Amino acid sequence: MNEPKLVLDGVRKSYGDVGVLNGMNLAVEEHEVVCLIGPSGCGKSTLLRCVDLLDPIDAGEIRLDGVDVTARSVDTNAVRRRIGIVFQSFNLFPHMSVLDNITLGARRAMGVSRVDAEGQALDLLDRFGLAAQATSYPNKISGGQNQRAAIVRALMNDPEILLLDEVTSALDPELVGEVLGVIRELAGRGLTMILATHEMGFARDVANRVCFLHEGRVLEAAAPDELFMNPQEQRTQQFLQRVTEAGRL
Amino acid sequence: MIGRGRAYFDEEGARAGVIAVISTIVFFGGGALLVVNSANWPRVRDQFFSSSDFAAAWPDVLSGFWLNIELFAYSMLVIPLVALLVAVMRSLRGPAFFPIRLLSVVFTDVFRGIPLILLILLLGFGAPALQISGLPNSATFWGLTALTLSYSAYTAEIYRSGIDAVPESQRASSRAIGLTQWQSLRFAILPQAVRNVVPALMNTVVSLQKDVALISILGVRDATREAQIYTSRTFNYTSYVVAALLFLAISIPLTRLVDYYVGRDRARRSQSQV
Repeated sequence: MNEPKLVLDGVRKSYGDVGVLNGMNLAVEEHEVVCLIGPSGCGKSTLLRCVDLLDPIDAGEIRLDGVDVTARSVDTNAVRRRIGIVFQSFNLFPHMSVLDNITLGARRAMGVSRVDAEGQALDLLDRFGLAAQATSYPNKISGGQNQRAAIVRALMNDPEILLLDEVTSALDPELVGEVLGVIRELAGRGLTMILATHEMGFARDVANRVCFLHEGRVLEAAAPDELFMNPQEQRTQQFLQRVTEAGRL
Repeated sequence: MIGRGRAYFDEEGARAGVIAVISTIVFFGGGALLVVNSANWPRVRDQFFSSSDFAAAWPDVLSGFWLNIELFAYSMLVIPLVALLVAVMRSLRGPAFFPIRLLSVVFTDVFRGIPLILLILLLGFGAPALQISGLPNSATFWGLTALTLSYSAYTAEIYRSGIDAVPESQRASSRAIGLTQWQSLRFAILPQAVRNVVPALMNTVVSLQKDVALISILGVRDATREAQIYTSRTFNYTSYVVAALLFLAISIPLTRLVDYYVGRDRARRSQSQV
């Protein structure tokens, strides 16, 4: 049997005394879009940070194509280049133009020439409607444009997996749509993605599978319609109930 | 900004301007009268503000002042580099870099902890006595070294505060695009950190420009030392005033430049919060 693209096997991670991931198991197939939902503090962001090796895990394994990438012998920088991540608050570098932001990794980490990197970046910017903003600085463009630029930056290395950490949470409501549109397009192209999100409607729309996280574990995972219409676990029901009351579903 | 300048010419502003002028004249004029009318003023005037002594002391003090300028220029070249190195050493992460971090901490603790004047005396008199081959034995060199070490320690802390002020998320996103720790520092963190602390660095430059005078305690013939020599020869203190004026001639424009830069920087930052 083929090993899935990404496997988290009993991953544990705590910050100080607080256990955030408590034996997390998750498998993601190639071309699959997995949405992580759950209350704040359930471990969604930490899971994504650990998968991109931004935080070391305490126990367990994270396997990419069957190889444990948390092993000491693995070159973490090389692993990070195979995975893209986009954060809630964009995190573009404020002292660089959008174009320099996007090409920095290719130019410095991958050794791509500036001309090639900029060519590739301009193609991507064009595709996501940002060509006019290429020379602008992050503080001169809107939040939605910032976030789309951050997605383009993450796409520059042709990542095998894209991680999206609540990428619309910091946006004004009228800007959410343009970012979700970009993600929808990427899903349509078959990019493997893991999304932590509070946009339940969007999760339902775009995900192949939705995982409800509770206290650092996947409590329930199912196809979106199934999970939203017919949640099995009481915790999931309560969470969805509250989300519905808040008008987010 | 423009509006504020113009306000002085408005009707309201004109009144304010007149009041400001009158109050300035009363305040400073009153102060001057107080000094000039004090019983010992004529003696003090001859001791500190004698024009003939001013002319006589000027050439030597000025030539000493060129040494101050020269030392200031050398330290300005070295301090930013040493300080940046120390700050970067301290901000490296991971257990393997512990000795480097420790070295950086010891450096800042020691050289920031010793009063500058003491450090100049210790190195200025102690180091030449060691007669280390290959290193200059002059008091000027070791005094300058002491000055550089002390200011580097302070400046390293300024850089470090700038590095700490860059949000952790910037480090995460630079690592996420595949940059190594060093590349992320070099291309993402340091440019932002330095920009954060430029005003603080420029203030350090102003105080460095004056502290160069401390090197005179080693007998190095800078402006202060030359002024002292003149005084001990003639028992007239006007030479000190000459030296003070020379320092002011540099430090006041420098301070204005810093103010201008900080103001512009602040305006630009507040503007950019879209």
